[in-house]
Amino acid sequence: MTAELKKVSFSYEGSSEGALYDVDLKIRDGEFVVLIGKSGCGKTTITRLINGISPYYLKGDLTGEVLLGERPVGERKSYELAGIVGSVFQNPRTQFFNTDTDSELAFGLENMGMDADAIIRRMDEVTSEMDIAYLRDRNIFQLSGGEKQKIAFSGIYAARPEIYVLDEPSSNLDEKGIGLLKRSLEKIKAQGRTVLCAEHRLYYLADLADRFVWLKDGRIKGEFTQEEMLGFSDETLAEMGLRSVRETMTDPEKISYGDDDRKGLRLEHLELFRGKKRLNDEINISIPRGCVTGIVGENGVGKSTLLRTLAGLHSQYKGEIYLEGAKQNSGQLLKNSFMVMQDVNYQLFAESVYRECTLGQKGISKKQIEEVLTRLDLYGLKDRHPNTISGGQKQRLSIAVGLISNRDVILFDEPTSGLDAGNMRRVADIVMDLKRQDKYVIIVSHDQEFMNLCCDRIIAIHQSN
Amino acid sequence: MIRLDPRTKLFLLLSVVLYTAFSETGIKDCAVIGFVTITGMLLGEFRKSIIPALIWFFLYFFALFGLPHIEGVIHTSLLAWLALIFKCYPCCMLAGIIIHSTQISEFMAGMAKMKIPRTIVIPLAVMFRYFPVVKEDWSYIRDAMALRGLRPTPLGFIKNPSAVIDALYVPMLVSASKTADELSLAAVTRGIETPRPRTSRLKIRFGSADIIILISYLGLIIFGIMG
Repeated sequence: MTAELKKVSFSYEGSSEGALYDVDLKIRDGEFVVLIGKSGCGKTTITRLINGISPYYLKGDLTGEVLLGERPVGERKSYELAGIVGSVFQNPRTQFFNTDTDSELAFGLENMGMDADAIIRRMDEVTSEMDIAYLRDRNIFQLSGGEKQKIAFSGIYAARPEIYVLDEPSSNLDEKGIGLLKRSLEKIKAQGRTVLCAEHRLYYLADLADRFVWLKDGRIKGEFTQEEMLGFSDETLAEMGLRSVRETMTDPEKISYGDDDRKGLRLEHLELFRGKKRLNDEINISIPRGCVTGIVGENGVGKSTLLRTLAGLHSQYKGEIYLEGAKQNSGQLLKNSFMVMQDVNYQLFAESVYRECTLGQKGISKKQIEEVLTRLDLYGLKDRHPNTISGGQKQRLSIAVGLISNRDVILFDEPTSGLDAGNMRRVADIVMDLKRQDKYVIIVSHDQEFMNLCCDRIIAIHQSN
Repeated sequence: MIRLDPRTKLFLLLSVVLYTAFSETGIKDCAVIGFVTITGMLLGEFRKSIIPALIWFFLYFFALFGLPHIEGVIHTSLLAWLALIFKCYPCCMLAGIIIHSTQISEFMAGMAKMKIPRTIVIPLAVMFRYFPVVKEDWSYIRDAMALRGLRPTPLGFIKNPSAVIDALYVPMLVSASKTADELSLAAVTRGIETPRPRTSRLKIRFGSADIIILISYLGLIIFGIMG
């Protein structure tokens, strides 16, 4: 089925973010089109116009025509669209209506009113076509992000839609998860389905896409074929505000276990446990002051647990942690380090940016706070409510809290998930600034591009056998 | 292990509510707890049955043998507190077992069979779906609080009540409204708004297990009201 935007302009109610101006775009039957551009350029809006979310649920002003096949999208009800357009979203955690995988696979089919035997037959077909036998009859909350996204995709695939619309489906996935996603996309492409995908991470789509459509400030700025896209250098792409189209490997010169520096942050014979389960082989590393250290490793190896341990939030470990010669327990770590969480929304709860910085602090002068806020480019926002500032600003505010409370060790958990190239570079700049302030910076991330940009060295931790 | 129709489960809950409404607290309640424990174990919910049962018997023995030795204000307040707990306990325990042993799809199919309108069923289903999210949120919120030197414990609360409340409910609300938006968009794009009757992959029907359990709970109500 084709999808077409004819002279479409759209703006959301009460916001200029993500608006579209005079967009003409025709997606042919069986074509695989990727929408690229900075955050807020309008690529997500295009996906929403095609699956009917806008203007019917996220309201706004639409002029021009949006067609599916020959008919305008608005002529069909949401439940009719559900049978034609399959939508995959960013956050695998909130795409589920059920809490077990089998019910989720059946959900769309049950809404379509299919009878029980046909549903069961279809579920079995999907299981073998998508290769998900190992994910059947599982609790969704026990799956990894990649596995969740795979189930979400399979549930949509089960309804056999003609056209797939994906909105940054890789945002919350690690490399393994992206691998799973890519295999699903290969499958639907081979079946001749039409695919429209808005995405920041491009490398996994480079050999799948027929056409890349570049949006800037709500307008189509250019269209590229696969060959043209692969011909761009990373520098050109960066200027366009885009991420690399090639898979980035960890810079081999940065891989190390650290030198024998008694003065820094030292982890000796560190083994992490979750309950009785030992997560990793012994970790022996030392991290000097003013060094940015990246940590990589597969899902489930305990990278996040390592960060939580260093933050003083997790105390099930064996081995020792020393900070400048002094052995640390969890309570001391809690005072000396600060973690910027993947979802910073959990960390902000005061009524203004300024109050966020004073909350629970003793003996901090106004001048100190203003200095930190200025340094992180937040001073102009000091009276705003933390909930009304952008995601990047929230992240910086969380860092500001860590700096004001005078912590030496700053830990980052996946700081660039879902960020476009420009915002990713901004996070890298802030990390470099922390380095100049002689902090210990430790980052856990799947984002190789980002890690190569700002880490002085990268340490791989391994699964325990 | 048995499987019960979601409609049967609803009836069980109703019968325990009726029982507690019409009977006085006493040794009979121990029999009810025993009933609920057995039901839970038959449904395969061992943890959700045995642990609450042990807690119940501990409290019950405390009320019988410990409480008479305590005097004054503490005696009165403990007595009032325990009376309230004993009243709610059987219902809450059974509800816990039922929620844990029922899939959302099973619940929706059962409701559809009883012809309950969707405007009631869907919000309830979303509520069930939301419980585990709260659990996940809670562990993040606890981390975030600890990083700021706050503790969600009674002592931490006394030290810094307003900060602890803000740190709890602000992120909870932000996360809840975001989750609700994303969840409903996902459900809408998958056709939940269809006016046609929803089908189910699960073949839900009354079996012999349902009949036996129903009769025994019916006996329970009669025993509670008459005896």
